[in-house]
Amino acid sequence: MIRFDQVSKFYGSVPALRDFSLEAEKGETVVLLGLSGSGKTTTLRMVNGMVMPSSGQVMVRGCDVSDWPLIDLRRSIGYVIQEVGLFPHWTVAQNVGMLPKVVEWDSKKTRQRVEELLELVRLPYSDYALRYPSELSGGEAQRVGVARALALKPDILLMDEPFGALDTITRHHTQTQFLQINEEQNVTTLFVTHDIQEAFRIGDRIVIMKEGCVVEMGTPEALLENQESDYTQELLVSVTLQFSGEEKDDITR
Amino acid sequence: MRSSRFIAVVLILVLAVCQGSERSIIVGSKPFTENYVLAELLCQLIETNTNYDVERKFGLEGTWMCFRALERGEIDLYPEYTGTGALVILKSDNKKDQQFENLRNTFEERFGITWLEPFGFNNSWALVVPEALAVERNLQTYSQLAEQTDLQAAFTHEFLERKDGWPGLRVAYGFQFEEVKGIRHSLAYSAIMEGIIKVTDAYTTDGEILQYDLRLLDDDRHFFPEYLAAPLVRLETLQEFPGLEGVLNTFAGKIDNARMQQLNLQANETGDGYPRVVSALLSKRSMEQQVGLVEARFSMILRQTGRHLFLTGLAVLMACVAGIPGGILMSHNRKAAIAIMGFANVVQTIPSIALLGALIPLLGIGFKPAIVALFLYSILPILRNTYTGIVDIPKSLTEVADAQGLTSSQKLTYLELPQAAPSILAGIRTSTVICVGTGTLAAFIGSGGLGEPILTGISLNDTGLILSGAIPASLLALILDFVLGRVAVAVNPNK
Repeated sequence: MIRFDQVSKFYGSVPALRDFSLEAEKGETVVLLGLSGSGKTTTLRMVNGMVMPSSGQVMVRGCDVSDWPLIDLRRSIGYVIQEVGLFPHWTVAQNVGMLPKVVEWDSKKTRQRVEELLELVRLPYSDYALRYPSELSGGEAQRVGVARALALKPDILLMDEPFGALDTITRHHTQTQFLQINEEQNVTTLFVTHDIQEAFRIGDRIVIMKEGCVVEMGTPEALLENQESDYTQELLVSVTLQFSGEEKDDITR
Repeated sequence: MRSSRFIAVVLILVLAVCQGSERSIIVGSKPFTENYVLAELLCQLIETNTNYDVERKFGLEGTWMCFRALERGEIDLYPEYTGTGALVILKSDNKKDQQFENLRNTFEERFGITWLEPFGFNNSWALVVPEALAVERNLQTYSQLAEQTDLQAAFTHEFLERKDGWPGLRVAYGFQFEEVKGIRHSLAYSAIMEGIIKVTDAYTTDGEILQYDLRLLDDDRHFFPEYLAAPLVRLETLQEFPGLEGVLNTFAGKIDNARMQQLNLQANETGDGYPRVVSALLSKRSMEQQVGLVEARFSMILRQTGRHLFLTGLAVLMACVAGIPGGILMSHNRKAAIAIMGFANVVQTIPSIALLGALIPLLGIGFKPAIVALFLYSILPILRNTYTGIVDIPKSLTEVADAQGLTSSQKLTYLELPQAAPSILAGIRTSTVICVGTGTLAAFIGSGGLGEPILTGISLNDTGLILSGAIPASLLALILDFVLGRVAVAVNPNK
């Protein structure tokens, strides 16, 4: 679905990403885990052409990103960021209906889809449709953000620390909900985070990144059992502690 | 009743805004009492004796502006003085050129403009001092005045500049005053009464000479040439409007110095000013006239308010049409933005009078240069606010718009314009208020509007007239500011 082939990105002479290769299968959730400056956001933004590689190749659905008509490519890929970015002058319904409006669906079809999406993120249409973003809590706003990203039924979803600004409890709920949605929708997801527990909870596969390079990659289970690098080992101490607790159910779900 | 009055007001405003399709005779004047009186006299003569429409463009600043306007056909006639014609317009101090017949021939040949018959009086320049001072120091002539070196003098700007004015006179008599300043003619008398200055230039027919008890000194070396007042008219105009010449010559040779002094004094003393004095001269019944004048002032205020609104509205509209797309383009090209903003900032810092003046050689006087100047002043706030309104949109919003595949026009209509709207509106609001203010100055170049009564009022020392322009102008600014403030609240998208 998404393939990175020895991709590098330089800003001037400063490398942001070096020799990065990755293949994400359909329906898979790949988490890019690393500290800030590790190149994970750069990687994410290459998938929808917001950043173009300096060398190497990024393929989406078997076709090079640079060969895609950018507008079409971007409309077919959901995009969720930490700041959410709901248009403050639009209601929840208008925000979720943004892309249907852009591709000129008729209003009945749009409304149906918006109702469906708000249902999906557990925000009843009758309560929320006419609210403005300023009338939402952080968690609610981010769920609207996810709904908006899913409006045109994309088969790829890019999420850049989507739950990073939420408090611990809300984050936990939102993650749970996301996992359910993700299962139903069967969307290929690239998920950027620096939160290790989140990475292990959400990822089918985890790519651990440092200073623009891949340190290690594998399924959460494989990484927990066997770490090849010291950096990974160090990172995983906190997760292992968590795993002994009652959350294990969620993680292996 | 109320609605019919409203309709009447709207009609008057509409009429004020629309220029009549029938061409009217445009009469200009310089900004001092006597010229107003003479210009008004010519206007009323046309109005009472012909069916032609008259448009008044009074109070044009100085000879140069009046004559340029006449040359370009922006006005048809104005009262001018023969001495000024020779010295200022022809730039000749040859005594032969100053003779009336020669002057007329030269003007007809060179400019297609002619002098009609002089009114009769000689309004020469003269220096005046307070009568008390004259008695105290026994001053009769300029030569005696030249011996005084402890006096403060203030002269009109034109007098200070002209070769036949102060520079020539100073050399001819060897004047050495303690201080010489520039001042507006109408303010010079107040200054002399308050004792701030002791000497000023006056015209031999000034009514104030009687009013303020001033002494006209004798030009014992005959420095000043003759200044016979006469209508200066375009030859084309005389052909276009048959019978006009005879009508304009009605008062040829009928107004002597004493009568003109009297008329000037009356025009300054009566609150209603020169139109009434002229009507009286044309011997109309004064009661009828008085009622008419109150109405005339009210409709003048309405007309000028309409004119002012029209000028402001058109300039701001043009500024929006250019400024909003300009700001949008700038927000897409930050480098160009810096250059354009720099240029607009420079334009904004040019003093308005200077900008208005600079536009005269390019566009003449009246409506066109005024609109251009107001437009130039209005565009910066709109340009800047559109630009910053868009640039200041949170990055997360523009990122989502880009990442979800909005085209740049969709991004503009769905995100950028709604988000920048309050800022753009604030810019329009600033522009409008600036425009209403600067618009009063545009009356200097004959644009009309509420500046006209203000300037005329200053020239005639008529507080009522000043206020009848100043109060509506201030109210207009406050009202527009308030209304646009409400609109800004209404369009604020961030509920």
